Amino acid sequence: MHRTMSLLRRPELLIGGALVALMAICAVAAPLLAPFDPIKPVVLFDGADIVRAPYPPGTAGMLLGSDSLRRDLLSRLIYGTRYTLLFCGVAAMLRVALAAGLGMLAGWYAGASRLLDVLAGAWSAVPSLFFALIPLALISRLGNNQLNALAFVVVFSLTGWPETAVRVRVAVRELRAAPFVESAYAIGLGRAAVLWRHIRPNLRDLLLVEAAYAVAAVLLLCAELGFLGIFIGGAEREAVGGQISNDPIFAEWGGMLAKGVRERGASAVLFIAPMAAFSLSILAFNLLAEGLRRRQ
Amino acid sequence: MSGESPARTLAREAMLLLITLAAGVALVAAIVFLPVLFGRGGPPSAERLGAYLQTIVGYVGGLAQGNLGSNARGRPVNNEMLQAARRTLELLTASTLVALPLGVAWGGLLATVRRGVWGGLLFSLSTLLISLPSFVAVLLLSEAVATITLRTGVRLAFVQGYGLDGHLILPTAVLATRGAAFIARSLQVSQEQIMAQDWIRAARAKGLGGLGLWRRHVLPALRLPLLGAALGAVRVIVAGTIIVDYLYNWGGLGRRLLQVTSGGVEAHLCA
Repeated sequence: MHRTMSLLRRPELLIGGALVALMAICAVAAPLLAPFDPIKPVVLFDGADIVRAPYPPGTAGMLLGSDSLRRDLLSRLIYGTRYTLLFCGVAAMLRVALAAGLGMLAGWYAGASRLLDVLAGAWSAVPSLFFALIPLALISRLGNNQLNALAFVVVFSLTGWPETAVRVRVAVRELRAAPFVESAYAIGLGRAAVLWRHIRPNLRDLLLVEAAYAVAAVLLLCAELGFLGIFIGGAEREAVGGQISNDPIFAEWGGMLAKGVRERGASAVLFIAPMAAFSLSILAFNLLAEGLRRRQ
Repeated sequence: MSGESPARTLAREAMLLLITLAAGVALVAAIVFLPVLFGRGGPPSAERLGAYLQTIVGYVGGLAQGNLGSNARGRPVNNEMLQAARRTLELLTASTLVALPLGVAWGGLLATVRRGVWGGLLFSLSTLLISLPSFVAVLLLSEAVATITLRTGVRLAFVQGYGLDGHLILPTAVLATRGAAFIARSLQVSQEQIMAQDWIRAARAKGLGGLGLWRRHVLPALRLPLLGAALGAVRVIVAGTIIVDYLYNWGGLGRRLLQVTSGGVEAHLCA
């Protein structure tokens, strides 16, 4: 009862949590929720002729229509939740783990603090999009899907960590003076043991908030890269109007957005649907993070 | 640490700043010259790695002498890079100048109207603006302006191109609102933390409240967070510049950067 009242007092936590839960359900139950196969084309006939793709919304039970390869857009969006959240979630967790490690060391050891100042200063001077764009564009050209997916996760996790690391450092410094730390020293624990056993567990709430913000930031980066035609794995060459371009094989929002931007002339929904999915999910994680922060 | 002379502290901080700056330049060069490592599609090799490191060292050395690099035809790019940098700087300055007062006013409102419909609206708006990818904001705003122009014949702003006139309105609006939303949220967080401090409770217990409490106790404590929020907003604005510059065809560094990724090795230059 108390928890329910507490949730109701925090609408941002309620709305953000509900939206994130909805996305998680979509990701887990995608095969049950998606009306069509996200990869298999649905070929429709008008008499003896094949109907031209993309199909408009509402055609043959396709609520959002299809893409130019005759694949149901809604099903691809639902399956896309699975792949996009998986990649972005893993990258965000790695980013927070890296930031937490560096921040804890910097908050605990004075020498590491100087090193963090230099690293964080240099790293945060480079915008995330700039940091990710060139390496990912180059690796995409190699045509190795596994390497491409791995590169996305690694590059995403290497951006944006300095702000979190600095916040963790501040929190560790505040905890350093806490009575329980002195007690731990008094019973003979070493510095590293105190940091690991007593400081780390007390950072849990802060890291939870940072993780939610990190997922939102990684999704934002994924959307911006998708808009510029760079997306996670599963790409094959496709000739569009004489031009060679990448085309997503499996359903992932970044790839859908890239294709939607290219083919928005044929159907605006192709562009609007993944754009809305990205915007809504970023909003959800930002609301969740804000709600968690205020609950602390 | 406490026994250290001010001159020594200053020298140490200056040294740290220089090292940070050098690390930043090296990082940017390492990213920009990655095409040298990858060549035309093939995986990196030991030979390419040598060429890559040599290029970075050569470029950083040249940069120290004022040489910004050369284009695919081997011609120096100093002039075009400086022109692009000037355009980007103009856009950044205009956006920051709009974002700062807007963000401070917004943050003040967010902190004072914490509950009720207005509080919810202000909070929702700031969260929405922070969450929307830059390209979505650009496209929505451009679409709105184009529709108004088509329906009424009144041209509110230009939707493409460079110029310190009506051209500046849309890109500045996109970047400044994001920056202002960031400042507003940062200030709100800081103010909530300040309001929870013991000395604020003590001041309240002595009968101080409302604007008096805010002016005498909260505002002075907000100076440092405001500086941090302003610097953070500049970073948000810089990050958004790449896509905004590209979509509005502003002709700044953002567009050049995107040419590097589509053009391959050649354009080393945008560092």
